[in-house]
Amino acid sequence: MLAYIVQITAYSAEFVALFMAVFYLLTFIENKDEIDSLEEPADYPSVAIVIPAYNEEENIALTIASAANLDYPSEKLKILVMDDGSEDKTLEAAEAEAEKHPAKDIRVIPNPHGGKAKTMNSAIKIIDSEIMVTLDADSCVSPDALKNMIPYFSKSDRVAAVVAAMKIRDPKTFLQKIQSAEYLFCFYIRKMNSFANGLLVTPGPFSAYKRSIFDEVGGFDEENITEDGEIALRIQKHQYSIEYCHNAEVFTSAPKTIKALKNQRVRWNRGTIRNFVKYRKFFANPVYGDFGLFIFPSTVVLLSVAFGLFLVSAANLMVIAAKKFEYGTLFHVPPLSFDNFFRFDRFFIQPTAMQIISLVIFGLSLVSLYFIRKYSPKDFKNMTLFYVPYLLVYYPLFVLGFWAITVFYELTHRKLAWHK
Amino acid sequence: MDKTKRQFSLFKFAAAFAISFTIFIAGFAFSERLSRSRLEDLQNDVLALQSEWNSLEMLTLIDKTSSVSCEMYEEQILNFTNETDVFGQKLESVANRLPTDNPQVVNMKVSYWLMEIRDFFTLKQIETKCGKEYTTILYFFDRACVDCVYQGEVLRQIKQEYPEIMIYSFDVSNKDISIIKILSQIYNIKTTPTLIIGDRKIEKETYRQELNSILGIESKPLIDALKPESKTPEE
Repeated sequence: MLAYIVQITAYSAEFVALFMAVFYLLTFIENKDEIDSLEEPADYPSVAIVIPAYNEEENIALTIASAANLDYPSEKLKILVMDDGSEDKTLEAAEAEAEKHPAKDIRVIPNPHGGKAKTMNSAIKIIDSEIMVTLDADSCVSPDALKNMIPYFSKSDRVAAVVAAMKIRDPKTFLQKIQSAEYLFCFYIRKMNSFANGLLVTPGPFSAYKRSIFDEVGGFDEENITEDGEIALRIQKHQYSIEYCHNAEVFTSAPKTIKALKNQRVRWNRGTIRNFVKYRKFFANPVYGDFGLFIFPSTVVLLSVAFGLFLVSAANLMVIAAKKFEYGTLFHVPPLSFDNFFRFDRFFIQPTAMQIISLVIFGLSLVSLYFIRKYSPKDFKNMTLFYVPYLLVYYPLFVLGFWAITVFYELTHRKLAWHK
Repeated sequence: MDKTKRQFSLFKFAAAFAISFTIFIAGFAFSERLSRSRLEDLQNDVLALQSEWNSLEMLTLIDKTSSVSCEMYEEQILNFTNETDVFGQKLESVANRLPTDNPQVVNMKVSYWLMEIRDFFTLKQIETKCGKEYTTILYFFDRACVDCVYQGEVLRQIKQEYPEIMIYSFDVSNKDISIIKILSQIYNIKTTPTLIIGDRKIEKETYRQELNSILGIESKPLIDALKPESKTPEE
C-alpha cells in the first residue's frame, strides 16, 4: 500500500517537474525578443546605495570601492554605509575608504546594534533619493550594474524593485564552484520567473527598490531572518512587480566549507518556511495571476514532495541495506571483466516510463542550459562541466540534506541564529 | 487596463499542460512498447532453447545404440544450463515491468521451469552415467515472501562467483500450475524460502556465511575489509 502511494506521488511530482520545465521553456520562447531590448532613460533618477555592515572590516573597503566605481552620474549617486554597531574596526575601515573617493558622496553612519533589517529601515528614513539600492557588505558590484538596472523601472509604473544577477566572488574551492553553477542555473529560473512576474526574493547583495514603495508596503521586517525574502513577498502581495536584470552582476562571498554552507542554507530554508506560511494565501490564488497559480504552488509542492520522497527512499534504502548486511550480500560487487563487459546484452536496457520521462526532463534542463548562455556567455564556457555534478549529485543530496536538517531544527525548536 | 490586475497566461498553462501530458503518455507508451518487443524477443529465445533441448534429447537417443562420451554430454548440458540461465534473467527483468498475471509471461515462466527440471534430471543422469558430482541447489520462493528477494540475491551472487554451482529456482506462488504442484508435492514444500542442496532440505532464510559452510566455498567480495562477521542464525 505504501509502495503504491509512493509510486503515485513520484509520478505526480514528475509531472509537476515536467510541467515546470515545459512552462519555463515556453516562457523563454514567448519573451526571447524582449531580453536585450531596453532603452536608456533620458533622465537618470537619484539613487542611494545603502551598505549595511556588521563586523565586516575585511570586506567593507572593497564593497565601498565597488559602489564608488559604479558608472552613474555622480550628482545623482549617494552612498550610505550603515554601521550596525560593529565590534571590530568596520567603522574606521569604511571611513578610510570613503576618503579615497572625494568625488563621491559617501557617508558613514554609526548605529547602535539592531540587526540588518533595522539598520536598513533607519536608512530608509534618512534618504531622499528616488531609488534605494541595498548592497551587502560582503559583496561587490560590477561598474555597469546600476546603469543596466535602472531602465527596468520605466517598464511600468508597477515595478517596485529590480534585482541583479548574483555570482560567486572568486570561486576557489570545489564547493564554491558548484555553487557558481547553482547560481548560474538560478539566472534562468529567476529570469523566467520575472517574466511571469513571480520573483520570490529580492536578494540582499544588490537589489534596487523604489523609495516610495516602502511608504506603501512598510519597511523591512525586523523580526525576520530572511528579510529579503519577506519584503519580496510583501511587494507581490501589494500587486507590484519585481524585475530581474540579468546583465547587472553582483559578486557575493560564498561559504567555503560544507558546515558554513549548511548554516547559510538552513537559515534561508527556515526563513523561507516562515515567509511561505505567512503568505500562504498566495497558494493557488487566481488574484495573484501566474505567480499565485503556478510559481508559488509549484515551488511549495515540488519542494515538499521531493523532500517527502527523499525521506521515504532514504528510509527504504536503510532497511534494504540492513537486510543485505544480514544476508551477507551488501558489499558484493559482481566480478567485472572485459568478457562480461562485451557480453552485456542490450536486452536488459528496459527503461520504465518513470526513467524515460526523467530523461526527457533532463534533456529539457540541458536545453535550458543552452539558453542560459544568452544571459551569461562569459561564465558559461568555464562552468559547463560543473553542471553535471550539480544536477546529478549536488542538488538532490545537498539541498535535500539541508532541508532534512532544517526540518530537524524546526521540530526540535532550535533557536534561530540571527547573524551569519 | 487595470494595472493592479495580474497577468494570467491561460494559453501558456494549457499549452504547457498539453505538452507535458503528451510527453507523459508518450513515455508510458514507449516503455510499454519496449516491454512488448522484449517479450517477443523472449518468445524467440524459448524456441531456440527448445531446439537446444531437442539436441540434448537426441544425444540420449543416440546413446542407446552407440555410446556417447561423457565430455560430449557435459558440454551439451553446460551449454543448455547457461542458455537457460540467461533466459531466466531476461524473463525476470521483463516480468518485473509487467503485471504478474500477464498470460505471456506466465507461459514463459512455465517453459522456463520445465527447462530447469529437464536440466536438473539430465544432470542427475549424467552423474550416474559418468560418476561425476555436481553441486545443485533447488530454490523455492514465493512472491509474497519479503525475504525471498534477499535470499535470491545471495544465490545470484554465489552463481556469479561460482558458475559451476547449478541453481534452479521455482516460484511456488503459482499453485495452479501443474509443474509447480508436482514439485511441491515431491519435495514437500511447506514454507518459503526452501533450499534443497543435494539431499539436504533447509526450510528457512539461509545467510551467505551458512551457505558458504554448507557448500564448502568462500565469499569473494571485492571489499574484503567490510566483510560481515561470520554468524549463523542458529547460534
